[in-house]
Amino acid sequence: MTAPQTTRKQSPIAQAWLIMYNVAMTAGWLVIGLGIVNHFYKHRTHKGLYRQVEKQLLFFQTAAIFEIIHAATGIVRSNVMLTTMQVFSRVGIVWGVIQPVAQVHNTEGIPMLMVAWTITEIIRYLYYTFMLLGTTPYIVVWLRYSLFTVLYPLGVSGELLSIYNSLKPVRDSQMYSLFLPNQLNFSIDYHIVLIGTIPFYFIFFPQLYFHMFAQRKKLWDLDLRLLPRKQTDSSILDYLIHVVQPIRNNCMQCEKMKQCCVYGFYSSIVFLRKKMKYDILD
Amino acid sequence: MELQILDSKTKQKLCTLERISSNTTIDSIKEIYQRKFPNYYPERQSFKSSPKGKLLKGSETLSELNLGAEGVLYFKDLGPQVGWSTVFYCEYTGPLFVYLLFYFRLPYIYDSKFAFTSSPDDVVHLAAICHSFHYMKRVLETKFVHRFSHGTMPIKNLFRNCSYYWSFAAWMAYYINHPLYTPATFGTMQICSGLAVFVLCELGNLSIHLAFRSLRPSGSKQRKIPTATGNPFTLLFNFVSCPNYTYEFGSWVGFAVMTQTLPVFIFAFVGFGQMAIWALAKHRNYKKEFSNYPRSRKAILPIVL
Repeated sequence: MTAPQTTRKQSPIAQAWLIMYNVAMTAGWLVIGLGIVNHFYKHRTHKGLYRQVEKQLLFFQTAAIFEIIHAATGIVRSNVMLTTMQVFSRVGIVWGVIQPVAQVHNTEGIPMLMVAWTITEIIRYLYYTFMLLGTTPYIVVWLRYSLFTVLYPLGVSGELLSIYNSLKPVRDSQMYSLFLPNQLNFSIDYHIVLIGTIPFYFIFFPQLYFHMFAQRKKLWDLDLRLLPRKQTDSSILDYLIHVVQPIRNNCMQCEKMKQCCVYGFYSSIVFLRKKMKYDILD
Repeated sequence: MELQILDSKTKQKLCTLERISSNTTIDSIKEIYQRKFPNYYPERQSFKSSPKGKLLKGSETLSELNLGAEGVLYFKDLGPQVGWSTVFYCEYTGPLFVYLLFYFRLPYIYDSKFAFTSSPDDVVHLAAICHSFHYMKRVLETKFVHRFSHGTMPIKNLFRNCSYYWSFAAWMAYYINHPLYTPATFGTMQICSGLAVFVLCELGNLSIHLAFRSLRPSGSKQRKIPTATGNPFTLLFNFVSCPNYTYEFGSWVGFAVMTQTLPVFIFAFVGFGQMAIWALAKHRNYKKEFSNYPRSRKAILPIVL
């Protein structure tokens, strides 16, 4: 998930809540991660994995709904529609596909999406937490903008596999379906609804995936030009930590990332040139 | 004076209009602009005094805008335009035909053994009459009653609006004309009350449209506070600014009660949501335009909203 988040100047209560929320979510997903590791260590199979972490997964994935509230109330500046779609696609998979269809629990899709989601979420919430605290270690930024290359396809494949594996049981049990005749004069076939969701993955996944690559590239370009290989001058490192870091952080989360980056880039170059001139002169 | 025209998005210079008097209206600027760029007919053009400002009204003159000595206007292309009445005809004839495809149970819609059969339930035939009447009324109103204050709208709205009306009509018609349709739970009483609400609201809606027509004599853009006329249906003007929407919503609720079909209820409430947005905007405009606008009036639902 790539919901851009930027904290505005806001009330201490909102900020405190956001810090608590993000810390709790990081911790929650860490617990899930430990559960997964523990399960694989003990049993050496993905069978039974879902049962092992079911409660934690349901709780913390559902708690992501707060992100919609954060966006809607404006305490986090991110697109409400986009956040809603992202959160509900996950919540929908968990509550609408995996949880109700027991036949899916031991299939291969589950470990795939669990591993992908867990690592992504630990890093994402960690990143937000650091953001709120005002500093982001470079390693967290790097992980957030690098691991997706593997984790996104892995997660999406897991989700698609889970939906596919749920189709037959859903059709046989006629789960969540309503058939004519009935007094509402309305029918819905959940089996068809699930099939209908599959094309959306093929429409939206490439867009989201390449969008992340574009963001990554912008970030890296900025970095490379600002940090000449030979320069290990402490004043430049200092500058990178105190000036570039905040600019980059803002750029990455701002919806108008492009303008931000360009602005940040130019202002940094100007600043750096001046500084280097003086450093050399000294 | 000299007037520079820049693109509102790219800020690139598009052209310079020379020897423009300061009391030229935006409407005449549009005509002058069309002479330079024949593809851009006036309806397609819009001008702003700042790149992100509001679209200027056609009646505003340059002197009112305080452009300064170096006049700059920002041009925005509204895209290809299509007349309102064209949009209305497409929107309304679509559901009329789509509904009837389901009513006559064309093959491949339902099980093949039901092709071209007719429903045993009277309410299904009644519903087809009501639905067709509703859209026929709308088509005829577009032809003979409505006067449009804005001539055109962007062509993409045509596709959006048509898909909304057409697909909802298909969705409703599918269930109402389905061989497994279940008629009203409370029988004739429910059907008759739904029908009564539908008919009364249709008449009310027509009355309001006629009243709006008489408010705006042909060829004028004059605006008045709408008030009740001799027709008792127009008394609703004493309670709401947009009684046509109130009646429209009522019609669909009546139709939904009569047919007892969930998609019709959904259509009624989605439509209500959209009409409420329009009504609130219009209500706000009335209050801004007329200082003596009746305070007790609401936008769409008496007393409530």
